[in-house]
Parts: sequence; structure tokens; C-alpha cells
Amino acid sequence: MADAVALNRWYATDVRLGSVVDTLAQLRRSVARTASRTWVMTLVAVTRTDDEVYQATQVMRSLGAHHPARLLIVQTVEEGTGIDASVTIYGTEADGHPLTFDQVGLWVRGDAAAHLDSIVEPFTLSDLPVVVWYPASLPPVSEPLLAKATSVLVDTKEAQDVAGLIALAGRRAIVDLSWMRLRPWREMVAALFDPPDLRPYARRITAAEVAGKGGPRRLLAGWLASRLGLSKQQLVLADARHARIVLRAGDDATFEVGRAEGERLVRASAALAGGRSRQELLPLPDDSLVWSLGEALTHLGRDRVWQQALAAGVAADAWI
Amino acid sequence: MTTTGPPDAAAASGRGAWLNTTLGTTADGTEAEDVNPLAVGLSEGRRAPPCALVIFGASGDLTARKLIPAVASLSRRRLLPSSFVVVGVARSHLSDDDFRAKVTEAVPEGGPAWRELVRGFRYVAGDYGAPETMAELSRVLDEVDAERGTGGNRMFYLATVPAVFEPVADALGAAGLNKPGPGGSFARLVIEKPFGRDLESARQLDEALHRSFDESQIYRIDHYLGKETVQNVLALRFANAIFEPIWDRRYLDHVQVTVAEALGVEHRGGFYETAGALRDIVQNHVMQVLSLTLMEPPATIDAQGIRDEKVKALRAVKVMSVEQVATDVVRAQYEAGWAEGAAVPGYREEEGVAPDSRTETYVAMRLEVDNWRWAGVPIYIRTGKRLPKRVTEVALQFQRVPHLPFRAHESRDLHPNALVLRIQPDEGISLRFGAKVPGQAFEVRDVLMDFSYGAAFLEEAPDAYERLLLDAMIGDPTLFIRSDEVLQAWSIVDPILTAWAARDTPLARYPAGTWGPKQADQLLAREGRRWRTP
Repeated sequence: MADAVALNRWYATDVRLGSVVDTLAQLRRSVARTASRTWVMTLVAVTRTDDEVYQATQVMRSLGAHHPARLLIVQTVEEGTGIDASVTIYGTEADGHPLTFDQVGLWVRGDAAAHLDSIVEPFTLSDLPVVVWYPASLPPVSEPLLAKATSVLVDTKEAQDVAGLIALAGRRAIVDLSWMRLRPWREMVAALFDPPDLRPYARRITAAEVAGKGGPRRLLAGWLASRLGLSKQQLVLADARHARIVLRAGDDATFEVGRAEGERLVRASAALAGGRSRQELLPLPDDSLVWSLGEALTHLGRDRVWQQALAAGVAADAWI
Repeated sequence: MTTTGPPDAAAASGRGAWLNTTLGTTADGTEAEDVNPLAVGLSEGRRAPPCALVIFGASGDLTARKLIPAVASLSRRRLLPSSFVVVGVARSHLSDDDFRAKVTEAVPEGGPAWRELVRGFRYVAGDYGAPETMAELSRVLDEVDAERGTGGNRMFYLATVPAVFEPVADALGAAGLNKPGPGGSFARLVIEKPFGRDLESARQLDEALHRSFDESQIYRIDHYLGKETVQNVLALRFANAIFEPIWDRRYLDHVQVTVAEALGVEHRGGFYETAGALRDIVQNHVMQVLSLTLMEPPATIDAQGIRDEKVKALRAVKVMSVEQVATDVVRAQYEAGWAEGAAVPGYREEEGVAPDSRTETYVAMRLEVDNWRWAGVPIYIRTGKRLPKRVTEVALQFQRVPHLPFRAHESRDLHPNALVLRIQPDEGISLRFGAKVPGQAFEVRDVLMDFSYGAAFLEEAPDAYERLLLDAMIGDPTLFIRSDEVLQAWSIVDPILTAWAARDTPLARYPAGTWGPKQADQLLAREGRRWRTP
């Protein structure tokens, strides 16, 4: 896959949205004959700072070809009034096919920021899902833009108060990028109990230790608590640079998944009373933003297990 | 049919076992007691259960080129459980370590995690059908069950020449390895085409396999069915309301199925001499694509629903008489020519091919389907080697409009609508329709609306073997060929073989790098039609 390159750009200050839509159509026409126009969604990133805009732009450029989408990056600014806009048509190649996708940047100042739904609406592609992504914040439950969203992408990695998110998850499909990054880890932990002789231990876990960084560690703990029926007292959390999960079934068995020291590998092991043990090495999962966003865009539905994990994490005060 | 082996409950249920086990929920949505609570919601339930994959023909080409890379890819995607082992069986005298070294070589980019998995692989040397080989295999399988937790689950993959299918199946049966162990474990047999050389030998093979394995334990692979785009034929037809209503004789003029290969026989001349295009491609790949194209909508997209409808579609294909074979089937062989910019030899000059060979490298035929949907819609099939390019497609050619209101010169460039399903390469769908040429005059011309899967879904699609291996381990037989499908496909092809054998059927010739002999063009031209140029 070739890197996406900008084929056409446009930028204007204090614009009417109608002129942005017209410009978008005009720029598209100039490249339409050489590139296929296949879209699967409208992806809207809601940002607050220039850094967030830059990061979202980079990631969405990488993903544009993987999930051909109209990309909207909206930055809200409290001061002033009016809207500035940019339109960029990107070209890339997939399997020998020229492919284009477009990106619209909107800088929304003042009161208009409270009406993002009406600002985004003219740009959404008909009949296709609208995915709204909050790269560095959680959306207010009352945000009107959410009514337009088929799915909402968030990242609870740094989030403190997730009560609103739990309420929102009852109404919208929420996809947590942090949860996506944990998926390979969850798979590795679950795989320890795949052998029929080890399967019964999954229901006999009496203690869990989860080491790692902030939010993901606590989300993992919530997952283990909800899936294994563990109480807060049975969970031990610790700060650590690398993730490590230890599950104990009394004195009968210990299961452990953790990053191998000094290597880009994960070591998964099961040790049973009596000296029996199993161990395997697995590749260290990708935890980049591009990967996790790509995964999130592939799994856009509601995730009951995540909702339970998040709720269990909060109930166990693990989020404080 | 004698069936002594116990049935595979997961497969026999008609649904992939994974739906109810690995996913961790029962039919009513509650979690079953024996499931892994941590696996709920992961990998959409498509992780393999603990399993020993026993590969007969472990030192062969298929194992190194396809099976082992597919296993490595499943491992990389974390779709294999930690309790997974490959046990290689072959005549070559190798130690476990020799086999592990070969397997490691087959996946040079495997990395430390792959090497770690391979450390558990085992090897058994011996003659395939010999009782002592099976005794040793049985001992090794017991060991890996104990050491690796494979739980008595065995999948026997016969990556061997077809001649040993029968002795291996018998020997597995005699050693008791055909029987699932206690506690719901499974024993499955995977075999690859060719499934016989004709209808009679296919029946004999079936009987031989069924002596030791129940049909629900047998997984017959046609790797075409593992291709994403072949499966997409089902999605296109049955997930969209727009296509199915016009997918019949009321709107279609005819259907063309093309399976073209740019390559010659390469190093397979010896094998190809005994096969030919009819056996090598038409009986299996073409019939599979055809049955998916012709079938009625199944009630459910599962193993039984889909395979029942495929068999019904094949049953409706009219079996040819000897006379029809003479008029409706063209067989041909390539001669020297230019392919992809290089001078290439004719088939008879290829290595391993007799200088007076009469083996066909090209077949074209006209089929009729006797049912309500397809009556009166001819199905044209062509397949061949050394054609201008590699392409597999199904083209539905629509009827002309009943009346063209334009003057002749205004619509001279207009052809009937065509919906083309491109299966490989460049997978996608295109629709040809008429549009006005911009300008003062009212000229109408063909345009192509083209959809490319590659431009819409860029996620890495699993290789066909990877998909099929995983399905077989999970116990989902949907993409495998059932016994009655094999026999029905042979019922269509067998009369052609018989007619060819009985008569001195002419063998047409075509230069390498062309779309086939003129006789194939005449097959369509006599009814006012012509082949598409893919």
C-alpha cells in the first residue's frame, strides 16, 4: 500500500458551510476519473487542541486507505465566532487500484461549537455509518453530535470519570480504543484456559494481580472481576511499565501472562500443583494508535463484555 | 455405506461448533458451564480448540508451501490455542528436530514465537498404511495429549497422493484413531481433490473412507471455496435485495463462467497427463463456482443449508448424451505461442508430456439447467491453461431491452447489460450499462460501474488454506464438499469422459497466449453469442 499523498488542497477562513461542500465536490471532480470512489463510512474526529488535530490527521491519513471514509476533523475553539475550513483530497493505491479519499478540517469558534451536529451533517455520506471519534476526551452525555453517530470511539486510557460513558453505552455503540489494545492480552489470558484439563480452573480463580499502566490496568481488572466473579478484595493492582497478569486458583494453579524482560515477546504460562507446567512465547501485540483505531473501525458494534468490565472497574473503585 | 466411526457431533449439527462452544454461550444466550468465561466476546468465537494436526505427507510440497505457512499465520493471528501441535507423518526418515527445522525453514519470517510453537511439533516416520506407523502415531498422540493438553482432538490431513487415501483411512480405523475419545473430543479426516478419477472411482473412494469415518468426520477441501471472493458470491446474492430478483431466466440471456490460467503445466506435466482440464478444473473448481451461482437461497447460511442447495442446483444441470458432448463440448490443447511477452512451448513439448499426447488443456462447454429459475438460459463454461491471463469470473449476460427507442447509429456501441463477478484476481463486481455520451447528439454507449473489494475492504484476508484449516479444527464444514456434492459433480462430468473415450473426439489446438480454439467461439456464435474478453 502506497502512502497517501495530497492531490488537491483548499483552505479558507470565515466560510459558509455551503461553499466548503461545493469546494469538496469541485476538488473531487478533478481527480474522479482516475480513482475509484468506494466509501464505507464518514469518520468524524472531535478535537480541542492543535496537537490533537495533528495527531488525528496523521492517523486518519494512514487509515484512509484501509477504511475508505470521508474524514472530518473538527476542532472547537471557545473564543471568537465563525468557521474556518480546509479540504484535502488524498490519493493512494490499493492492490494496484488508484484510490482517493477526502479530508475536511473545520475550525469551529464560539457558540457554533455547541451545534456540531448541524455542522457535521452536510458532510456525512448518505446511507453509510457515521463514526465519531474523541481522540483525547470523553464526550459529554448531552453532546448533540452523538445523535448523528452510529458508533462513538473513545479512549479510556487516561480517563478518570467514566460514569457518563457507562450511561452513554446504554444508548450508543461505544468502542474503547484502550479495550482494543487489550484484546490481544485478553486473548492470551483466555488461551491459558483452552486445554480441557485447565478449563475448570477458570471458574476456580481466587485471586488476580494486574500490573501495568493506569486506565488499561484497571480495565483489565474490571474484565477479570466481571468474567470470573472476583470481588474487589480478590484483586491486586500495581503500577508497572510492562503489563503482567497473574491468576491464582488457590494453591492448585497459577496462570501468568507478562512481557518477557528485555524482549518484544509475551510469556504465557500455567503452573499446576505437583510440578506440571506449560509455557509459550507469543509476539508482543501492536499497541499503536493506527492499529487500535483500525481495530476499532473493524469492530463497531456494542460490546457487552466491555460494558461489564467498565462497570465492574468502577464498582471496584478501580478507576479512582 | 458402512459407517463404523462415530459421527462428529459438531459437524453433524449443521452449524459450526464454534457458535456454541468457544464463543461461550448456549443457544439461549446464557453461558454454558464448560466454556471458558474469559473467551467470551473474543475473536468472534473463531479460535481453534485444542488440537493435534496430523499431516500425512509432512515432508511434501503442499505441507511446506501451504499448510505450514497457514498454521504459522493462524498462530500469528492468535487463532490457535496454546495446546496445539503438528504431528508430521511421512516415509522420510527424519527426527523430531529434523522436522522442526524443515517447518521453521518453511516460515522464514516466523520469529521467536513461531519457533517456540514449533518446538512442540512431532514427527513419525513410516509407511502410510502400515500398522506399526499407526501404533507409533497413536503413542505420540497420547504423549502430546498429556504434555500439550490437546485433549484427544485429532485432525488427520492427508497431504499425500490420492492413491494412499484409502490405505491411510483404513489404517487409522484399524488403529482406533478414527474414534473420538471420551469427553466429546473429535477425530476428523481432511482430504484434498481429486476425489476420484470418475464417478465410479469417486464412489469407491467414498466407500473406502466411510469404512472408518462417518461423513460428518470427513472434510473434503477444494481450496477455491476458501477464497473470500467465492464466499462473496453468497453475500452478493443473498444479502442484497437488488440482485436476486433478476437472477433468473426472465432477465438473463446466458451465463459465462471462465477459469483461465496464464501458466502452462510447468513441472506438473506427468500429473497433468493423467488428469486434463476437465478433471483438474471443471469437476471441482468450476462446479463449485457454478453451484454457488445457480443455487436457490438457503434458509440458513450454514453447512447443511448451503450444501443442500448446492447439490440441488447440480442435480438440475442436464446430463449430456454422447451426441450432445460432440456438439456442446470443445476440447483443445495449446501449442507453442507467445504468452506474457515470452515464447513458450506447446503442451506436447512440456516436460513429462507425451509427444503425441491427447490430454486436453482447454475445455469449453454449453450446459443447460432444468429448473424454473434457469430453464432456457445456457451456461457456457471455459477453462484452460496458457490463456492470455489468469482470471476467474462469472458473467451474467442480461437480455437485450425489448425495444430500443434510439436510432441505430445512436446506440451502435451499446451492448446488453452484464453483471460480472470477478473472483480472481482483482476481486470485485462490475455492471455494464448504457449511458448518454455528453453532447448535442443522443448517443448511448456502454459504461462500466466497477466495484473492487480491494478498494473497500483492505483488511488482510486470510489465505484459503488458513481459513479452511481453521474451519476444520472448529468443526464448521460449510466450506467443505459433501460426498453427494462430489458424486453429483462427477455425474455431470462423467458422461463427457465416457463420450470422449468412446469416440475419437477431435482435439482442437490453440496457440498459447490466446483465448482458445475457434471451435469454442463457434459454440457461442451458432446462437448469436460470443465469449467475453475478461
